[in-house]
Amino acid sequence: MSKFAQSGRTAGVVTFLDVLGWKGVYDRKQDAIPSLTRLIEGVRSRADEKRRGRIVEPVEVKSISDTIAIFTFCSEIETSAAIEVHGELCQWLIPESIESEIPVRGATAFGEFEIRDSIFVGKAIDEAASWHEQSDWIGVHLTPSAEYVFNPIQSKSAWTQYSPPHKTKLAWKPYCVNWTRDWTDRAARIIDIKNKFRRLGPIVPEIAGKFINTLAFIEAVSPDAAAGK
Amino acid sequence: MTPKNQRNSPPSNKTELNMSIQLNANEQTIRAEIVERMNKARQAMAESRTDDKVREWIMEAGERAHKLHLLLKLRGQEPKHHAYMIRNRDMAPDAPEFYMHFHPIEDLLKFLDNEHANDDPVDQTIGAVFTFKVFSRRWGHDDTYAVQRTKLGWKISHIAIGGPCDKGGNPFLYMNFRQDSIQYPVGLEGWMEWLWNQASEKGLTQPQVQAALQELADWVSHTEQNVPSGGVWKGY
Repeated sequence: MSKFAQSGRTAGVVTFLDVLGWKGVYDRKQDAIPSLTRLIEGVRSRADEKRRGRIVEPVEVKSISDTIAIFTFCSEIETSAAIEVHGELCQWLIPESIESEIPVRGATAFGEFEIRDSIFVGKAIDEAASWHEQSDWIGVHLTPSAEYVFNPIQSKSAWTQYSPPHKTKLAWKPYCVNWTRDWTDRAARIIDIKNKFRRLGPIVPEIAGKFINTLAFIEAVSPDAAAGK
Repeated sequence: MTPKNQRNSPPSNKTELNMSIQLNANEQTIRAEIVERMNKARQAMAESRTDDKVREWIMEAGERAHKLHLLLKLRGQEPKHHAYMIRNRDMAPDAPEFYMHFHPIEDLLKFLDNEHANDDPVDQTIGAVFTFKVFSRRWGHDDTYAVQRTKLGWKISHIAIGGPCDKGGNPFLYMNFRQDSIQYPVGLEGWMEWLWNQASEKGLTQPQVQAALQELADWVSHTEQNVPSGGVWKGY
């Protein structure tokens, strides 16, 4: 049993992500499994570099079918750092998932949880699991439990406040992963993303909404929009 | 405590510990104090304890690590740290707070054992040219493509078809396959891209990249050599 699994019940950060349109991917994409495996391995390989020096406990990445779960136990003083690490991992994961034509959406929660092998239980698990499929876009946002404890350093944070499009109509503005933060040529990146969306077609109305909402987020978090230009 | 007569003594050529960085007696004492506290903290964390005592051991080890860092820096052997560690700590390694965490102390001890332990991988194969030898049923022999690793992907060259490609080998690797009706695995593009990224992030050597590329080429050859033939397939 790994050190991680021996940790027992304690608090930490949990992110759940799932692939949009996984149902039917078998017909649409021949290399769906290798593509998803590459994403999972990509997160795993980046996790240590993101957390060492910030969080003592390791970041664990697990997957069941098209759901990717990221777990990090942390002490109270490490909570914001752990949420940042999850945000930075999603900053890599979200554009890579679009590039791989298996776009993801998800949610990050904070609270108690426990893991034994591939069985997860706890408040943070329940919260992440119940929120991660509710959003109507490609992206990741904090759930209320994480929102209440997160104290980011604004200028460096992977997270930005935004109202994520949601199946439940909620008037709130949680922190969402700004996966476009390091873009330089934004116009070219948006063209690339639209081309990828086109390849994910046919763009039927329920899919179109997710793409439109994602593009609206990209527009809203652009430095020009922030500067009110 | 360090005995006074050991302070500032010159580095010993015969150290008790087989360390890459030669420590004088005073430095060895500090190192031992760090190790003692880190072992206690490690043991406690293995037992899922993260109480005040554990934090105290890490802080005490961190103070000593900072002191040792400055001593080594003074004599021109400043400990090196991974770029990501400096980024994650958000301060210079000689800042007092830098070592107030388990991991930078752990890395300092690794550095003392091996001065290259914290070296970052360097991308060393941009511009290097590799071979990619694949079997062709059409010609009945192996063909050797030239594959150069570029900043943006690969450059494929083979007879008349070639040019700059993305990390997955698009478009020219596959145009060559199609030209000679070579059958190849569906996921090859992903493996090509993975290899490019590993070469960049892990600093793979030229022989490592060459071996990995040939593994992919062998996978293509295996697919090509095992297409159904004869019987109902005759003439396809």
